Amino acid sequence: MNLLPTEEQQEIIAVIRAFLANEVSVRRYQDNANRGAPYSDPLWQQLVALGWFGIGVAEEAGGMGLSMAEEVLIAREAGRQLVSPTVLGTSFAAHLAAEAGNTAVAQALISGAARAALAVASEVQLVSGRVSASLTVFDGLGADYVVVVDRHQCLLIAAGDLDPRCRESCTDEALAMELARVTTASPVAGSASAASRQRFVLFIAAALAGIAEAARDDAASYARERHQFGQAIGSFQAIAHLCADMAVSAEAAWAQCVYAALELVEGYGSAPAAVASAAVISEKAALGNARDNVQVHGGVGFTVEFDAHYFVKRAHVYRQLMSQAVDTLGTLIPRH
Amino acid sequence: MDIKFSPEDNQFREQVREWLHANRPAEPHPPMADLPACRDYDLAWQRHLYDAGWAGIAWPVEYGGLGLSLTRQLIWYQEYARADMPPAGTESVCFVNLAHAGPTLIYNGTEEQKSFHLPKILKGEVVWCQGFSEPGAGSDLAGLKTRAVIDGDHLVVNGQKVWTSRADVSDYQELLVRTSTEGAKHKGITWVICDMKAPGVTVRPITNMSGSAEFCEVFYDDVRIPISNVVGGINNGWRTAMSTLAFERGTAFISDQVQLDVEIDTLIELARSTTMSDGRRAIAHDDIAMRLRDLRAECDAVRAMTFVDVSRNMVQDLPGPEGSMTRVFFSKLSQRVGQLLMDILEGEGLQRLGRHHQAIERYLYRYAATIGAGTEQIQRSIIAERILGLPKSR
Repeated sequence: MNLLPTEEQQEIIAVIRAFLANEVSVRRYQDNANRGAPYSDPLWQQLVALGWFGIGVAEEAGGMGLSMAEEVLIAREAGRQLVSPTVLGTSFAAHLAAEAGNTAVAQALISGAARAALAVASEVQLVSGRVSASLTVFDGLGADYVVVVDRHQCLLIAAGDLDPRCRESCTDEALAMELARVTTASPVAGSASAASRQRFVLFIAAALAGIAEAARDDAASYARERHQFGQAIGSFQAIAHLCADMAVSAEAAWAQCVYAALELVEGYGSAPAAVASAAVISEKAALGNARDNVQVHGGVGFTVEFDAHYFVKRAHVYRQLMSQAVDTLGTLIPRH
Repeated sequence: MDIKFSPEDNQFREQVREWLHANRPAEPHPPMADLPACRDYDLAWQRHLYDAGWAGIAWPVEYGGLGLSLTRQLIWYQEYARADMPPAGTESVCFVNLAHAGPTLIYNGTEEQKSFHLPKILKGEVVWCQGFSEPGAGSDLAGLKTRAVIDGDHLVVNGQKVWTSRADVSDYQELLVRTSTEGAKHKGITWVICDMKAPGVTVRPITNMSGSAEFCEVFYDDVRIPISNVVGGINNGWRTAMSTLAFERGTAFISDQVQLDVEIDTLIELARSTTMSDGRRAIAHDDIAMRLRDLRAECDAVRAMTFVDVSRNMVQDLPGPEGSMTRVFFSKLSQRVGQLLMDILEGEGLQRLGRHHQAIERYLYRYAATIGAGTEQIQRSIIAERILGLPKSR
C-alpha cells in the first residue's frame, strides 16, 4: 500500500503539468479568440504525442496500457488548467470504443484523427439499440463524436447524428455550447457496464479535484502578493485560514480520487461506493474552493480580468456532467 | 500508487484478526469516569498485548518493539476498530505513552532514557501524561512560564500546567519548562521527563464537558528532577516539543480516524433501525439520508487521507505538516457525526444515562478534537504557513 505517485508517475505529472502550463494555461481564456475555439491540430497532435488519449487503453487496442491511476493523474492536471472537456471526452470515448471492440474508432481517437465532446443529456430513450435524446454539448465544434453518460449507460454518438444543433452561449464563457437533438440514431459504441460509468465519474471527479487545487494555489499566490494595511493579506488569519481550509478540501478530494481509482483498478466490491464518495467530496471541494478563491481576490476576483470566475463556472459544468452519471445517495446510502 | 497490501501484510492482517477474535476480554471496560479502574484495565490489556507479541508494532526491535512498518500498524488499527475491542487511541490511558511520549523518546532520547522507559511503556507498566499547556500559554505555547532552575545535577521546577489528561493516574510526564528568559522565548525551553510521584507535584482534576475528570491542573512546588531526564538538551526543548507535536498531529490519531469508519457504519445502521417520533424510520427522511451520504463520503475521505499520510510517513522519520490537514478534516467531521446521532436519537439523545450513553459521551468528548494537539485555528495557521507558504499570521 502506497498512495503516493511512483517516480514514473511523478514524471508523467511533471511533463503534463509543464506542457499544459505552457500551451493551454487558464490564462489563455483572457484572449477572446480562445474561448470555445477547438484546439488547433498541432496542439492536439502534441497531446497525442504525450500519449494522452490512450494512456489507460489496453495496448492491444492501441493504447499505452496504463491504469486508472495514471488516468486520474492526468484528468487532475486537465482540471487544474481548465483544459477543454473535449480532451477528457476523447480519452473516455477511446475506452468506450475499445471496449465495444470498435478498434477503428478507438484508433482514430487515440491517434488524434477524431475527437469526442462531452454532453449532458435529457429525455434519453434507447429503443432497440437506437438512441433519442436532447443534448447540451460542450466544446463540440470540430468534434466527431459526442459522449453521453447517464445513470444507465455510456453512449458514443456520431456528431453527424446531431440534428438540429444550435449554438447557445454558455454560463462558462470559456466553452462553446450547443443544444442539439439526436433521434433514433445508432450509437457508435455503448456500454451498460457500471465500471465504465464509474470510470467516467472518476475522470470528472479528478478534474474537479484539480479545480480545487488550482483555486487553492491561485488564492494562496494572491494572498502572498496582494498587500493591504501595509502587509501581505495572507498574514491576516481571516485570509490565511480560508486558504488553509481550501488546502484541506483539496487534499481530501484528491486523496479520495486516488483511493477510488485504485479500488477500481483492483475491482474491489467497495469501488462503486469509493467512486461515489470521490464525486461527493470533489464537487464540494471544487465549488467551495472556487468560491473562496473569488473571495480571497476581492473586487478583482469578481471581474473577468482575473481567472477566478472561470473555476466557479467550470465546476458547475463538471458537476452537471457528473451528477447525471451517478446516484451518490443511492450508492452510499441504499434505502430500498 | 498501489492500494494492495502485500501478501505478507495480508497474512499479518489475518493473524491480527484471528488473535483479536480469540482474545476479546470477557470483562467489560470500566466507565471512562472511573480513571483508576481504567488505568488498571488498560495497563493489564497493554501487558496482554505485549505478552502476545503485539506491542510497539512500528517501534524499533531493540526497545521491545516489533520493528514493523507503519502500514502494519495501520492494519492493526483497522482490524482492532472492527473487532469491538477495549478503547484504543485517545480513549485509552496508554494514548500519550504510545502515541507521542514513546515516539519522542525514540526520536530524541538518550540510550539510557530509551532503554529505561520504552520497555516499561510497551509492557503496560506506566502511564504518561503531557505537561505542555499552562493557564497563560495555550496556543502561544512558547509563552510558558513554569520555571526550572539548575541546582547541581537537578532542575528545580515551580509553576503550573493545565489540560493534562489523566495526570492523577500517571507515572511520568512530558514536561516543558522555562530554563532561560533570555533571547527568543522558544529558545529558553527544556523538555524533561517528570516523575509524577516526585515530592511537590500536586494534581487537581477538572471535569470536562463529556463528564469525566481526566483533565487536570498540575502544580509544581520545588519539584526536583534529575538533569539526566532532559530530552534533547537544556534550552533545546522547543525542538523536542515540535517533534512530540509532529507525532501527535501526524500519526497519533490514526487509531481514532480508523475508528470513525466504524462509527459511521454504526450510525447508518442506527438510522435504518430507529423509528422517529413521526413514525418513520430515520433513514426515510431525505434530509437525514443526505447528511448520512455526506458523512459517509467524508469518512471515506478520512480513510484515504490516512492512507496518504501513512504513505508519506513510511519514508520520513518525523511526520510533516500535512497531517494537520487530516486533523482539521477529521476533527470537525467527527463532531458532525455525533450531531447527526443526536438528531436521530431525538429525545433519547438527551437521556444522559440511557442506552446510548457511550455514544453520546464519545460525541461530547469530540469537542476536544478541535482543541487538543493544537486548536483547529493553530492547525490552519500551520497549513497556511508551512504548506501554502503564506506569511506568519500572528
